[in-house]
Amino acid sequence: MVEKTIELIGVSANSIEDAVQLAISRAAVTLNGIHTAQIANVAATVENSRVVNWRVTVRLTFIVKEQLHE
Amino acid sequence: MATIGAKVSEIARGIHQIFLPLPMRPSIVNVYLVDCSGDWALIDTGTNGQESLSALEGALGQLGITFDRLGAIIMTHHHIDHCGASAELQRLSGARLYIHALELDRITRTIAFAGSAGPTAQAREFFLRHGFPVDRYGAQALRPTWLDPRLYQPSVRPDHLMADGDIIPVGKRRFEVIWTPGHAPGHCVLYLSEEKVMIVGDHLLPKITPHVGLYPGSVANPLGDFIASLEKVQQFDVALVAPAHGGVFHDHRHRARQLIEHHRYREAEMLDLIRKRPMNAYEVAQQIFGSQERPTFHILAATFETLAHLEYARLEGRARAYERAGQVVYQCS
Ligand SMILES: [Zn+2]
Repeated sequence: MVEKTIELIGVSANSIEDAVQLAISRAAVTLNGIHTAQIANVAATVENSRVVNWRVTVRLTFIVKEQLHE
Repeated sequence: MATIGAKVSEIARGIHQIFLPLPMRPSIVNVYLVDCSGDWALIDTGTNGQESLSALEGALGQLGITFDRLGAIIMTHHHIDHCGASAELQRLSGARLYIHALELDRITRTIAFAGSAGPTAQAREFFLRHGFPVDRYGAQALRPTWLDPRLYQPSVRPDHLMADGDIIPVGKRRFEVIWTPGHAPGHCVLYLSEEKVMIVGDHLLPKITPHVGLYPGSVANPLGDFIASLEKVQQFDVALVAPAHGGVFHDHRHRARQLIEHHRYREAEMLDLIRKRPMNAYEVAQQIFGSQERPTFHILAATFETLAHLEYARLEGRARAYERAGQVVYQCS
């Protein structure tokens, strides 16, 4: 078995958790079987001394499945 | 008419995909010519442009037939690339014309819009209520440049109004009508059950996510309809999917699920924004689709695709809407 990892940055206006979930949801549009999200970095965008966005870099791991072509 | 440049490919026995040029992106629409043993059927028409009509005539020539062999012209929906030439083709061929009942009203509205100086007072009010600054962009800019009344000449007198489950017999073939509202309220796909071929119009495109927008005069929940139509087509047994843009493909269920996932993701993105603070559809669209310079028509489409999402979320209880200073704002708590 081989697994593959991709790195994405999820951006949420609300929280770190929401940013992680958004990155996973976007990846799931084209990928099946994502089983782990490793948080590689957390940053916040600041404007006028306020956090406006959470930017979370996540490494998503999924199993590379064999494709059956009929 | 010059007949050079016609591109024809036989995707299944007797089912031919014809590439017709478009004055916009995507730059090609596929229409389908189906040999029904005796009679032929044409699915979608292309625009009424000279280049497109010549290409279609060239394709017929390559197949050794002329317009008068067409027994039926079936249109998946009312858009310019799908029924723009239907009046001319009806005249040239004498074929029976089929379209879903709900698309007739859209045809009338689109013809009126194409020939008008700008949006109606009612449409203006609708745009402003959702935060779209219609005056900043100018009335003429709202209409896509390709919506040229010369290219959009659909027949307003179809011979048959289709409904879900209808069987359209043409020669030895039977086209089953599957009503798939969403991209357009009366959008239909055509299913050949014996051949397991589904001609899907703009419902299932291999590369593009079809545009689903909520406009003045739209049904209440076009995106909810679209998602339901994506579930619906998965019930059919399909070996080959024939789309209006892009190449044929095999796994219709996979693509339908992918489009559903894509819309789920987009909604999650939008809910994230309106959880932080209430926004109107225009503000959300600027965040989701970007605020860079682009044709006004695209900004309009992004705004009203966003509105379709927000209304879908509201109707399903995931967001709520209220009035603020004459505008509708959405919030998620
Ligand atoms: Zn369309």
